[in-house]
Amino acid sequence: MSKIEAYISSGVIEAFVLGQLNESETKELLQYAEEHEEVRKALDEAEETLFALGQKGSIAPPAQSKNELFADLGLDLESDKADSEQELVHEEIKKETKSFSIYPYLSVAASIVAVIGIVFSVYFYNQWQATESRLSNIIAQNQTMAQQYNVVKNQMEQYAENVEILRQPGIETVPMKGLDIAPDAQAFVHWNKKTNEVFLNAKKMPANEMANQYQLWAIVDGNPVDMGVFDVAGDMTRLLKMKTTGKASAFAVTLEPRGGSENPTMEKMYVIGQI
Amino acid sequence: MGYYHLFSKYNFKTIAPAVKISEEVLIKELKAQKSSAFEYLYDNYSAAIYGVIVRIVKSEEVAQEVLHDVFMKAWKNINAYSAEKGRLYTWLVNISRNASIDKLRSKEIKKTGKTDSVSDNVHIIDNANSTEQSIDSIGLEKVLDKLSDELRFVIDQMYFKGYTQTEISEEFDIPLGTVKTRARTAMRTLRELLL
Repeated sequence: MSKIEAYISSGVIEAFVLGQLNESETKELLQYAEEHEEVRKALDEAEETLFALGQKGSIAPPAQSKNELFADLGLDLESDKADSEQELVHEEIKKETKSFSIYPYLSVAASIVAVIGIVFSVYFYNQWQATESRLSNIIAQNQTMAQQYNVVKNQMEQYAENVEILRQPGIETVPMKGLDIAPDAQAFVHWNKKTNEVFLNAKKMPANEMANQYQLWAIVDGNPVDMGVFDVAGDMTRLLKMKTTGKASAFAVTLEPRGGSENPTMEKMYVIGQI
Repeated sequence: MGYYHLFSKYNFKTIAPAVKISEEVLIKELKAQKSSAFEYLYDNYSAAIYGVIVRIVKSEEVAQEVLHDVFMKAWKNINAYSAEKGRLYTWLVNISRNASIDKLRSKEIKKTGKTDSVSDNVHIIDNANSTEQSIDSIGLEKVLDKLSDELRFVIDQMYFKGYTQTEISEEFDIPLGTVKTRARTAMRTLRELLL
């Protein structure tokens, strides 16, 4: 331990701050404090500690004690003076004090605003998410409805076309009934005897596979005549325009290899209708 | 002409939290017998000083007399103050301790028969005071309670009873070196607890 450290540790500083050193000891300490930074520092720390101890044990004396003291000393209390100048100064000082202390309030206010902001953000984010999902549902519904509308609209247009065809004078409708191979099958030939046009309603025929196609035949003078091939797939509202014929005693539909056959395959006859 | 001068006309109590004037300037203004400087001194130090006095004399009534005497003396003897006395607070608190012990030793106090130990009275005083005061005082008690018994004893004897290190050594039969070490350790521990 150095001489200075030993001096600091000797309790001399504590004795000083408690007013227990004699004159020569005090002079020596202050001399050391001037010459050695460590002594000065230890002294400062001891005085700070003493003051902190006093502050920790603070008890405010009654206000009346201060008034009596100043009255006994014949001194004016600055706090009692209340002329207009003082008022003005007060205002200024208040403002100044305000500007000194506004930051803690600002930061508290900012924190509160931030918390409120976060709460609102969460709330609005949830609202937004809910709205977003409702919106996508509605968009999907809308698309479905548009599709359905298109289907209906197409069907309606086709029905309108069909009606135009069927309204023509000279139309004869030949119903064709299902045979053993497909008892529920049904089809109609709308034959315009004036123009020889033949239209087929195959809405109630079972769908065919890709390898096959249906073929319409007209029986003319006892012989089958090819009236064209067709597929049954999807919406069959539209009347199918077939080949023309001037005379026929019956119409029939067989299932043939894709592209049709020259002669009907009798075992694969689905429907037939006599005139 | 430090900036203290700019505020010397105004109420220090109002602006005390915002304005800290340097001790050097304050001493200069006090020596020039500026009443506003004295009021600043009172407003800033009276509560700490009063807390010490109350704990020594154990009576608020007596403590008020001592506080009055201390500040009278401070005002009248300000020119006797020098760096050899330590800081203003150090000087004031040492005047206060001596004045309190003198008062305590005077026959007037002895007649009332109040000779309880310091720590008992500190509790009594704490409990008797207003809420705000007792919070502060309990704060001090808690800090002092954190010291070991040996250190607490030295602080009580030196700080509240005004015993010198030599007196403690002789009266309680503790080696002087030990008393000195304990005094230093106690102050260092308090510094850590308080600052």
